[in-house]
Amino acid sequence: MIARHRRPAQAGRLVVLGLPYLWLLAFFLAPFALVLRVALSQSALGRPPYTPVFDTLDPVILSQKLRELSLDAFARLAADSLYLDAYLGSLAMAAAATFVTLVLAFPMALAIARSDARLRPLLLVLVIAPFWTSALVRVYAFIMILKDEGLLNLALRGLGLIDAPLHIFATNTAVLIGIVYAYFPFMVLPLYAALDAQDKTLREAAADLGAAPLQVLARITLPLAWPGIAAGSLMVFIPAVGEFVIPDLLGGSGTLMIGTVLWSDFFANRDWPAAAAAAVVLLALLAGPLALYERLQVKDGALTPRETP
Amino acid sequence: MPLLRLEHVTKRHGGFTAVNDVSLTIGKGELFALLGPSGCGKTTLLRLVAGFETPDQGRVLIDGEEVTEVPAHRRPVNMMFQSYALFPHMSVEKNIAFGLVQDGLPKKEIAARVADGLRLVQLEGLGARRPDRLSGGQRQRVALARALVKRPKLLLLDEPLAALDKRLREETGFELVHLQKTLGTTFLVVTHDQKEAMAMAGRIAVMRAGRIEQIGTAAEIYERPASRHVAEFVGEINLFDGEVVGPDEDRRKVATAAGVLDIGPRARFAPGAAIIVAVRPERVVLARTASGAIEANAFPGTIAEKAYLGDVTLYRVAIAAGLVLRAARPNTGPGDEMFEPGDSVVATFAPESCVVLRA
Amino acid sequence: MRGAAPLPRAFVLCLGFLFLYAPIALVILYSFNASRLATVWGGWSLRWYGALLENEQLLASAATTAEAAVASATIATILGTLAAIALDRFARFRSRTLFAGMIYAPLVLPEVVMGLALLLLFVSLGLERGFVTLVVAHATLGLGFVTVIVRARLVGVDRTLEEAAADLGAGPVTTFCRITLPLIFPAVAAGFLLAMTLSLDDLVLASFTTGPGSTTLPMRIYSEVRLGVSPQVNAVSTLMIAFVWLSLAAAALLDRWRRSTRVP
Repeated sequence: MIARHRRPAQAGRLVVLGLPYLWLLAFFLAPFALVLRVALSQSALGRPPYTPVFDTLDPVILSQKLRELSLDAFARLAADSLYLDAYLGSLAMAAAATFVTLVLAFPMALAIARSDARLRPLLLVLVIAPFWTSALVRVYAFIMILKDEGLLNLALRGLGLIDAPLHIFATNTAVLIGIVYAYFPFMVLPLYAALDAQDKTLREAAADLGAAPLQVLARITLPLAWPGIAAGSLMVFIPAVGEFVIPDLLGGSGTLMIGTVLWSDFFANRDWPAAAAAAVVLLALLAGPLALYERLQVKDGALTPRETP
Repeated sequence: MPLLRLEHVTKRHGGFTAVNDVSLTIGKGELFALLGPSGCGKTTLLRLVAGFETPDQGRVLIDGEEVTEVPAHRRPVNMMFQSYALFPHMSVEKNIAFGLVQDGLPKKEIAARVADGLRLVQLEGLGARRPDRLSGGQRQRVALARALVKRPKLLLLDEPLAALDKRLREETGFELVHLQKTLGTTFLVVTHDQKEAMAMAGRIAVMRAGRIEQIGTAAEIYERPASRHVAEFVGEINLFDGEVVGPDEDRRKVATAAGVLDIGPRARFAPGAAIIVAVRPERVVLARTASGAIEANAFPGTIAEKAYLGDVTLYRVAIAAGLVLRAARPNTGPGDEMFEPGDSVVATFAPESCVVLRA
Repeated sequence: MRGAAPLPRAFVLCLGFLFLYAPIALVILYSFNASRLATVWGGWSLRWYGALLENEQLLASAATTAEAAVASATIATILGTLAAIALDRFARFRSRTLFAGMIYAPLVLPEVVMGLALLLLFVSLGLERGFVTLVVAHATLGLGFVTVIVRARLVGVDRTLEEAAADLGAGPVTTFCRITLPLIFPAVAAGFLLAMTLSLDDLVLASFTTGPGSTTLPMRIYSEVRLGVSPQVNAVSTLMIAFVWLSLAAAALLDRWRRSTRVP
């Protein structure tokens, strides 16, 4: 439908595509180019606390500057075991949280997909609604629940199940619970979409061929839900790796995640090149999952966890 | 003066040539059908006329004016979409008025023409309804009215009857023909259904693989198909590949796998030519024993299958060399002679019933 | 034949929704707690709501947050809708992959990274951080979400409707205004609401991109929460929840009303 000869249509096309494109180039791509630039700069005192590298396009100066390119920040990153631990800690936490979310969300998604068709829109809205509630508030609620003198311990003690309070708050367990809770809807929705798209007659055919309900689940339902599992897992894993609020508020001294390290580099230590280098490494770590996620998005187009109520 | 003229129109989609060097002329007031299987290019051709697509080569002329590069909204043609494409957020009236509002007509005239349109398709009183509250037949008529109130020079109909159920289809087909006669508007219909095309259209173009294979009236296409594809696509047919074996007085004979066929006097086929002999099933006569009258083209065989369809009974007769001959016998009354599978019969057909095609 | 029997299904659903809603319910409940101690129930009271009204800093932040939300959601909705149309209706264009990538990446990209990147941009452009930079950051975040929602709806809009409009004489702009936009309007509205909520909620991007004069509500809440649980935070959280849910309900009602008052 490319209108080679239709000038007005061509102009309209330019506006429709051009406006968001320019915005994204300016406020999405350019900033990331800058992150790379700052990561390659030397730390300096003063504000902004870095010495820019490429502020000219003169080839002579540029080549000279290229030789001065500093991998300082990256070297410091590599030398400091804090960063390595933080990356590993983030990846491990994100992986564990993704797995737990998947295990918890799958029965939920299945239950919704198999519910009465008239009930399903309501159930979906109920799954999405918490997402519309401030994440900060929802994480804050878990402080109230998980603290030593919090509601969970009060309840358990009231029921006589425990004598001493459980120390969950300010541990990695609390962070895990927080992430699972915050990203639960992100997992349920793609799973639901995949399960809902499944042809019911396939399960009937499997049953007809002698498969018991659990075998149908394992051999038909689960394998066919693979796109949903992949999409949901990526939507939890990728942001969880860089999560800041949850480890900051629910974690303790033993919690080491890159989002919080980056934050304090930036706001507390004012070491911008280090923070930028940390961000670059984080992006590099996430490049694989991100590419996978993009492909899923671009291919399915409409695959989205955030439906409208 | 022709209303629509296509000159050597070619349209490619990627590497696929949807329409391949098609030239076509349709006169004013014609009801013309493009007939062919899905993927033959007929819908692309229609979209080229409507202006949704621009040809890679060739020209499109409507009423003598070249419109090849004119976008759809500036062409004096309107289309009835296969899916009807009724705007779901507008009432029937608003749907019908859409094009008139677009033309900037005064309100009074729009109201009058919408009312006329509703009356034309017998939907008076339903103007305020939303499309989703209409039956399939009613939707079809709204789509028709919406296109016709613009008084287009040419109305394009994309599979106009396909979405209707079978009973409604025939009736609506006749209504369309009647409407076309009354209004005198030129209709260009696209269909994959040969019966639909034959019942409605004055002239039919049979398309295949982006090209037009034959243009003619329904009878011409059925009785004198120009190619093997047209013969096979339009109705049932028996085909024999063979070679002309020479003049026998002024008659021609053809050697085929089923034996030697007599095709009567056809001087234009010289001996040695490879040809196809085609015979419609209803021209095949079945009898228990060979009658003396027709001695040529007689094939002894056995009834392999029988299908009683009410108006006709279809037989598949196994003849020599493992070939199967299809025969159709009209059912006229309870006294009709019936054959059963396993019965020995002789199948015959007259030389003049044969259609001869170049291989 | 069904994969799961009705009883376990209801059980799973109850458990799941309990997990999702109990924390929110607790925040709301304890905002009405008379006790100063956040987790000890001391009877019903509205005293913390009263205290909010006197907290002028908080009220100023709330105003900033609301203004930034409306402004950024408006930009995100316009640009996001255009992007959805470009992705869905333009067959192929160069660098489509880059375009799609830039749209979808912010949906999952860690906010710290995006915040840092935007901050560096504003600093190197010499822009003073404040309300404008905050709006730009939130609009960039919301854009992708709007695109996803609108595109999902656009896919469902039968293209022959647009062709029919063109066939009846409507040019591209008219076709968009009279056919496409009314049909995708619910999605555009939902996209606007979501972009607004994202902006209302955001702590990380705001912390990086705003200036001292434009502290947002989540930033205030965050600094309070770091000091521990406080009844006043419960109250302000409850108000935020109420605001978002009421506006969602209003939008849903409005949509229903719009539908029912159309030509029958």
